[in-house]
Amino acid sequence: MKPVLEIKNLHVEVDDKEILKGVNLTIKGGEIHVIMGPNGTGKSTLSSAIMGNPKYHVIEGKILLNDENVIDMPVDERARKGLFLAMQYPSEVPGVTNSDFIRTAMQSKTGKSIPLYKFIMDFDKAIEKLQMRSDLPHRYLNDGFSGGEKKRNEILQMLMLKPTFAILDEIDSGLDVDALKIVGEAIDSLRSETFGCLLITHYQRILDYIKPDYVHVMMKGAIVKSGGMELIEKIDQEGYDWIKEELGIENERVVPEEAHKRPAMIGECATKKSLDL
Amino acid sequence: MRDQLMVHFKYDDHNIIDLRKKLIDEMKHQSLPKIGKIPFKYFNFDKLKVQYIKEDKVTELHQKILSKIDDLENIVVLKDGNIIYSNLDETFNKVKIMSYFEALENNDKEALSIFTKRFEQIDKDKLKTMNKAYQNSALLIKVPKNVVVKEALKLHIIGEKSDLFHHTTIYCETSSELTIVEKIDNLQPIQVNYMSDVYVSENAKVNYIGIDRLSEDANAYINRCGHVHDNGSLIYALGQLNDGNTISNNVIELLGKNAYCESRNVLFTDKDKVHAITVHVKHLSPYSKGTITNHGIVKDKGYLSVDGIGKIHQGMNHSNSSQQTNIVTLSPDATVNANPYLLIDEYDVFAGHGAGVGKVDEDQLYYLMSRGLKRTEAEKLIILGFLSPIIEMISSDRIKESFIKTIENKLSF
Repeated sequence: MKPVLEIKNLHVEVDDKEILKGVNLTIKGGEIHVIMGPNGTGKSTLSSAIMGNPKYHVIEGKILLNDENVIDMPVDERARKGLFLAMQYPSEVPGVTNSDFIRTAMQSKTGKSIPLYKFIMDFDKAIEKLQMRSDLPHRYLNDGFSGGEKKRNEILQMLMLKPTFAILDEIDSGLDVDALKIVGEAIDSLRSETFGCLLITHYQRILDYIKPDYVHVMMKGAIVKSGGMELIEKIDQEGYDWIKEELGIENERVVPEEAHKRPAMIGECATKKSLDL
Repeated sequence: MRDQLMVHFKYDDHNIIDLRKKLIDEMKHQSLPKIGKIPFKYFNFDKLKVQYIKEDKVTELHQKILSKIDDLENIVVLKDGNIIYSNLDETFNKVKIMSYFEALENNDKEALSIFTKRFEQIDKDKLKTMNKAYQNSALLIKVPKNVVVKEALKLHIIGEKSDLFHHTTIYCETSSELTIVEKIDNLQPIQVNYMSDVYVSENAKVNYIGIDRLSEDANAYINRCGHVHDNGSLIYALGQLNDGNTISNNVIELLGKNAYCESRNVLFTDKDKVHAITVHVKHLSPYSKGTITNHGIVKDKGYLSVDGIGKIHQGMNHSNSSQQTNIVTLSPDATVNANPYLLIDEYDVFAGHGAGVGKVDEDQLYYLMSRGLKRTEAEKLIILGFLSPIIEMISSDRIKESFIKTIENKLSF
């Protein structure tokens, strides 16, 4: 049976502000969906809410993974059930090597111990596929990685963990043309009846390598338009204004753009500059 | 009292007995050192039971000791002042390793003069004076000029039948090199007053890894002191994993031009125990460089106090003193007191200091958990990663594994 991920009337709150205002989306195994939309319309909130980031509170609606509501599950349990989120800003974890981390994650997921030799073989193969540095297994997780390396590392983890549904949040930002091709082809190689993918992006360039089956546009915290490849071409040529016009939306943002605040960090002396005086 | 001492320290010379008596008299009007806000009442320094016990060397160690040793290669086991076991390969042929008892028996003039000299110096600090007055275990290690010892020397120091008043002297002569992995252990509930002095001569290099594994019922005062001369390098790594109350005082004197020291410490405090750690680097020469890195974990109702002190004395220009302390608290009941002091009496220097106390980073936890790791697994990985810069310094794989295992056991949630 094909796996199904259903998002039903999802309302999500962050810091007491409602960001998602009723998202409906169904992804089946074998399908690749793309969500596009201007900044600040709730795309990343959607991905974090599906994965189960504790900062995002679902106030209404359901997320069903093969008919099972995952809303009350913590993030790790959702991951073990087959959800995967390639993050826009992956954390750096100094001291934890990539190989220790991935192997532990794989063992947690399968509940079985993975022979070291087999693991190394598979890991090396995946590293080669993404054309990453061969010392990656011994490097600390994302520590000192360039933006592009971090993105590739997300895809590497996806190849190793073989999720049922992957959400890729702006996986293409910060990648140069060559890297885009490598990452795009790696994602496309996972295409199968048992794998579904939700791609969040601003650019249609990565779609040269991954042909999506469905395209959605998000505005004001909801999916306002869905279609196929033709939608992308039109957005690429004309932008989003025609959609706004068509739907009578004046401001597409969920929350108004806030004034840029620069917090004073620990380790930074309280200079005038850091305090914005 | 003299007669009493003669009964107690029956193997000593008369002049040593006299010195001990003098130290005990001195001690009476000395006060305990001031270390943060540490409540000394937990330590019970007044109730002592000190004995001199002689034991023969064995060819095979008793199971109760073996179970505490991770790596038998190139090891010296000192129990209640006696070298009861040693297994050293030819790399150590030129290195002199001798206990106080052995020096007495063999009437080794060189060793005895070093041991005796220590009794003659008077300290201001009551706990140090106590260590000398009641010393019942002492060891001398001497690496001669130009001797480079490639293998790490493992020292296992155990107290069983008596409170342990131990002192290790390590002399590394000009251009010599030595790595020591030292572990302090106890088999019975005892008090431990442990001191060591490392002398790093010109161009010498010493790596000193101290692992403290005393049990919950052993209160400890541990004082490690390094003295580094011109172009000498001392790398001090401390794994302070005692289950009991501990005062750990670490002092490094940079005495020569280009003297270099790194002090990297892992500190772990749990249950309701009090740990007071001081790391003090004294810049007593121009162009000296010292770095302090402390990584600590506090669990349960533990109380950890960490004082890092970088002191650059007047005239010690071009010295470089830096320190960083990071403590992770795993419980709301834990108490941490971290003070990164820089005391500078000279203009032309480099210095930096910082301290941070916090919980395990929630973003890192979320990231690891989003790949399927349970919270406890993720926490364990992050904490071991946090400690890794120090763990990596342990040169023996078996000791490293056991060190990690000890931390994992202490972490078990």
